[in-house]
Amino acid sequence: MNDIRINELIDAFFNCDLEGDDRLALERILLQSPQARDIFWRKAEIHEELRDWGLEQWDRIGSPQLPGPRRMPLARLFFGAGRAARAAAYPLTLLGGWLVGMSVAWAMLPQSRPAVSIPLELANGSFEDDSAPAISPAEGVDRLERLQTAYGVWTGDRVRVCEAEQGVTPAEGSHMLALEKALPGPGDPADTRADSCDLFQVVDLSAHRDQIEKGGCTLKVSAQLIDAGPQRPVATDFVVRVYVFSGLPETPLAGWPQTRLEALATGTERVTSFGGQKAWRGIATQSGLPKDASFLILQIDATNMDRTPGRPAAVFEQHYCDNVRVTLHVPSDQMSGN
Amino acid sequence: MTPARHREFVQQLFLDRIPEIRRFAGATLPDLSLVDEVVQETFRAITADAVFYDPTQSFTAWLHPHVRRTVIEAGRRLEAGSQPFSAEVLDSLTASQPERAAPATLRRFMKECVEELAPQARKIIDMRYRKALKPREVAKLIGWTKASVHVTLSRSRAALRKCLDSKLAVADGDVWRKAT
Repeated sequence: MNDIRINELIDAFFNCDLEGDDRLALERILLQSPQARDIFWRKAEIHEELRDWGLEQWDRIGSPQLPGPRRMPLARLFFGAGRAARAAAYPLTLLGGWLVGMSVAWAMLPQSRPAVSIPLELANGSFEDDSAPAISPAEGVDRLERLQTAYGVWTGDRVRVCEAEQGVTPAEGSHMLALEKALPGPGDPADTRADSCDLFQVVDLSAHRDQIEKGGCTLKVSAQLIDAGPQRPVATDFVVRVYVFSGLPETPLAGWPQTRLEALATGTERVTSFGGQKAWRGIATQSGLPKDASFLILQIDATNMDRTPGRPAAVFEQHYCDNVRVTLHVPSDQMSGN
Repeated sequence: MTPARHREFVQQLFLDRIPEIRRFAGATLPDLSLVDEVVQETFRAITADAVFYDPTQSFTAWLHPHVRRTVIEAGRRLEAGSQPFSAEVLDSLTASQPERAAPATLRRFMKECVEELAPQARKIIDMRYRKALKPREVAKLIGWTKASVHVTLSRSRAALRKCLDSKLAVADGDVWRKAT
């Protein structure tokens, strides 16, 4: 991609008009090219300076043509106009922001219809069936050759189903999953520095097609995770992701991970840890379900956030996962046939 | 340190970094209305998670995932064209974020540069950044096509970049050094 095209795409982003293939193209080039990232930041600086200029102009001359400002400095949201008052109130506003933030967040939640929750057929989500452990490359194999396209099979990097160990007991039942080592994935260049230990399962949605086709369905993915390793300066991000697709899993999985950008809908949630955790933490993400959704790819990973060049593949000490669940939420009026 | 004192300590560290958070949110959310909300929501998140912060470790490293998550959450409510990038891209951009020139200097120069724009360009910039209108709303108000507004905005920002670079170079003495 040449510089002119990169400039066009970044301009479209700042013009709130970057969609579809153009968005995917820009995301790819930003991931691959330091030069593209430099161009992005040079443009971002102008966008940001103009935003500040706009706020300053608003303070100075206002905008009589509009009923009210579309955005304003944070303190002014609660303490009215006036630069001195705003400066004085700013820290106070922020310290009081917890409650305010809660109410703002609540007010902005979509008003959902009453829904019925249906647990989906996730295979071995509590890792209790140790006769069917997660499929993981054998010891000594330092590359994940392929992802399983069959439904209901855990597959991924170096992981291990285990019982209580080193003072960590499973969140539920008698088994849990240890996330142990990051491996380069299929399609990654040979010299890829692996950051994340990934775990995947493909979940079939066809049993619920009738409900999904009516629209309005959502799904929730939850898991419990613990980083019981020694405390350390480098963070681990635990991430739960869900990608919703139509068609058959062979197609996206053959081109994974690039094809994840082609998902119909996605959901992601992260928690960050620096080791030393004594208790399991719950993490959950949600996604809408388009009417043509036919399967989902569930991904759980532990990612080493150390970006030091030349660092070897990430190894995770005492990072565990348990009690993975996927729940389909169907509007209750659909269930009753209304 | 008591849990309450530890939480206040984390909140104070957060307050010190508000300009950086605003800058990141402003760059990664093209919708101008959400920057303050990101700051607020991040504050709420770090307050809830304060107990997990180890004061012997980097606060910036601990803070970043919270900011990124809040940016993504905020973006979920936006229409497709205004969505932020994926978490992977945000991480990649964070790692490459350059140092910024002194904000006061930038602001003064930006003001001068905007005044140097052609009247029509200045009007479009004013509608987009002072009135915080989206380009399609600007187009509707002035009777232009959306594409024309996009082109004007892009060219104006490019002109402002050039103007700003020129003024910064003079301020740094680059031009003087070249001349001598």
